Amino acid sequence: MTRRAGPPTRKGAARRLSAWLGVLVIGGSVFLFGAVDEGSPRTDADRVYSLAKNFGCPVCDGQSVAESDTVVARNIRQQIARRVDEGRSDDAIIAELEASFPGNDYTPAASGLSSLVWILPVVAGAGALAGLFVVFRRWRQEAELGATPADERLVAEFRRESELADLADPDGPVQIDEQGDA
Amino acid sequence: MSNVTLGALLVALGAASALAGIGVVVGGLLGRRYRWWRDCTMLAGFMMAAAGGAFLVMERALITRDFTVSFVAQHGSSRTPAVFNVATLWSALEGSILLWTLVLCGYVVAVVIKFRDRGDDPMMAWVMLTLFVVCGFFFLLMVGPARPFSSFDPAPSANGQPFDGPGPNPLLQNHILMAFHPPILYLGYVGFTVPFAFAIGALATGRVGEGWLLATRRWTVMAWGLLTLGVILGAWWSYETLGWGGYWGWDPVENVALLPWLTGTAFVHSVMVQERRGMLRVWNLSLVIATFSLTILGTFITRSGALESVHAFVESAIGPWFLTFFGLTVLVSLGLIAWRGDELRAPGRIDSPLSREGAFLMNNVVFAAFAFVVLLGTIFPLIVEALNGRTLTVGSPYFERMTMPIGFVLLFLMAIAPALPWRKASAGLLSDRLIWPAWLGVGAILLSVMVGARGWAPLLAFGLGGFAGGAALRQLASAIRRLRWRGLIGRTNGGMIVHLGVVLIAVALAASNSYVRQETFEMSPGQTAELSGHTFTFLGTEVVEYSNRVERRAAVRIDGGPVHEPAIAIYDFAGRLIGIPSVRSTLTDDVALSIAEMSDDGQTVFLRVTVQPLVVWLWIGGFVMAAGTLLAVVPQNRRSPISPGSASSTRRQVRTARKSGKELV
Repeated sequence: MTRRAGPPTRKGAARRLSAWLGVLVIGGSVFLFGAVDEGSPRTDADRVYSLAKNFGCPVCDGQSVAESDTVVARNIRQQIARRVDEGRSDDAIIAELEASFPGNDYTPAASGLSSLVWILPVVAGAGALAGLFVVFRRWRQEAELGATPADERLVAEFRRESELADLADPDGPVQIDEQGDA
Repeated sequence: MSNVTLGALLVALGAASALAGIGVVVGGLLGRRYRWWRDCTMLAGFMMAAAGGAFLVMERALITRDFTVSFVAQHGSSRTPAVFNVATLWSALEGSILLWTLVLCGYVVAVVIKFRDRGDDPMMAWVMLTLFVVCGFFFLLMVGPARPFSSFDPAPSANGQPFDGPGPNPLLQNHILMAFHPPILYLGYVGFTVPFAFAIGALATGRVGEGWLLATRRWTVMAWGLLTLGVILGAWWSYETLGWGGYWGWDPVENVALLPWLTGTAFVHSVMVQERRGMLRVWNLSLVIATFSLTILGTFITRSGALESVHAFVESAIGPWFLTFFGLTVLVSLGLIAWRGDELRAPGRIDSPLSREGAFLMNNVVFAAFAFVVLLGTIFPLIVEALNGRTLTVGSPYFERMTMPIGFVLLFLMAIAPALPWRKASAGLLSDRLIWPAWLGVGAILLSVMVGARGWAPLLAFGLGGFAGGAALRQLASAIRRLRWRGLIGRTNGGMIVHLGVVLIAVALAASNSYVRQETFEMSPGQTAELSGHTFTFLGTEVVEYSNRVERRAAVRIDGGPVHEPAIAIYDFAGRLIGIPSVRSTLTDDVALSIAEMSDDGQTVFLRVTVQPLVVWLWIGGFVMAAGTLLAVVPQNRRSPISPGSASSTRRQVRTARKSGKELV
């Protein structure tokens, strides 16, 4: 059986509101706790892996330093581990590697020509959203224009035919699903 | 007759049949004798027989080690194990093109059989013309730059040993998935040629309504499902073979397989809007054209050597051919769309953003943005190099940062779209339908925090995954309650099972990426190391010789239980040394062991250990998606989705609702 939404009542609206408030309050607080709490501390090995994963092996085809087992990649991993031991920051370590092996930092710079790779998707996304907004506004305005006399004549004709058909076949022929889906 | 002669003859027969097919169909179109395309049935059969025969000849040459065939001499070997001997065909360029052509011809024959009753239909003539042109292109590749059957003189070596080939790339002969992943991927890739041909047919004939969509609905869904399965199997192969615990590295080859999947996914959603509301015609045509074009562009990128990739096993001069074909495809398609202009204008409008069609439109914009990010990131190094000569790498940090928010939006849309009715939803209805999926999302976050998950991004993914999964389960439960087992079949319900698979994959992606731990341990026999609550005891090494390689294995006991044996394999003929990882999978986490280095005496190994939670759910999710796709193409025998009553309620419901003042959904 398909359950239909009944006409809105004050009691029903209050019940819905309280259910969603429960979702927001409980879900939000658990989420915030989990998002803010740092959990177990990040080890030096985790840092070495993370840095090695984000730097390309200079002598491999499409493998990072973390993935490759070439001598060059192993040496770079050791270099990263030494720098982490020395207490250098992630940015400083990557900058040093990039100076030695240019073009292998997996994160494109946010300046110069490279910045386009960051900017273009944002511009395109914003453009698409703006386009959607304009289209929906136009459709809404068109809908508000109302029906023309010709439209109303068509609807009246259809209703008349429907009622005649209903008289002939009062049980109605079609059942549709909850979503009105195929 | 030698394999070379027979194979070359068959390829020539295929090329001639394709060209003859083009000629006959063009002649029919020019003379308005559309029925002529039916006369090409025999030519389609010839093409299929030629491609199938050439495939079998090449397999025979590989299995019998006929080194007089150049392809076998370059990629075959007497030492390659039998199953990989068969799979050698698609391990290199010429064989891949042969397999592609065979699959394409199979689709052409299927189209001819399926639509044999539409003999006088000009659209079918255009469809066949498009298919013959694509087949012709691939056959001509095999006649020209990607010739699989050229002769070779296998002279004995200097020490009198008979000639032997090197075998396929070692990475391609150490995992059984290599036998399945490429053919299934090709079935998906090539399958999009059929909806593309119908799109061209619709544009050429001006019948740009919903007919071509309905005709190709199942073809599209099946192609999409096979591409999905192919991509998932590829990720699994990478994970099991490459040895660093990674299944997706945003490598150019991986990206170009993802691109048609993204546009194809947008298409399988947006076709429903056109079927129901007659809208998004240009958009749907553009999506199907983009999907086909991206398969060609992808082949150009992977086969031309333009971009470095761990998956690029061949480089050749075939790149310009594909680039030219890609350019022509895009030009012709866009030209046809521009020519049809006003005829493509949609007759309807979307009443409210808060409707099923509104959600599909949003979903399409997001998928298009996803595809744009992946395409831009993939080709950006080429653009920069062309502009200023600098080399640049765009890797996983970029893709992860840019696609993560997109993934969140898609999960959110997956949650709300199934609950939205067509045309317009009220807040009350949406609230009623979404409340328990929302509680499921809260439950997912709560459970994750309780088991120790931390960090906003994975928790958000788990919460949205629970929300989307709940919405899909709600729809399925409702359908099963009404229709019993039939509630599992049909596009909507099969689609919900696919959504469940996507949720499993999203959760597995978030968990395995966020909580991965990796460390390399220098170990001697008897030593034990620990990572992420697991212990690893190195027991010793052994050397095992196979026909095609020598493996130096390290025996490692995990958690005091079973012994795993990651190895380093030396393929002496190819002169390559590759790692063979060993993975222990459980439902909660995977432990991947690989050897980074091993001393000559085998007394010291550098054991790389990667621990990732929930990885196995990626593969389970993939199979759930494949199962959902199969269920989605099973017909439900219900009313046509484009029947006049489909977008509204029944007369009886209208009358009852009018009397009672109830809201219609």
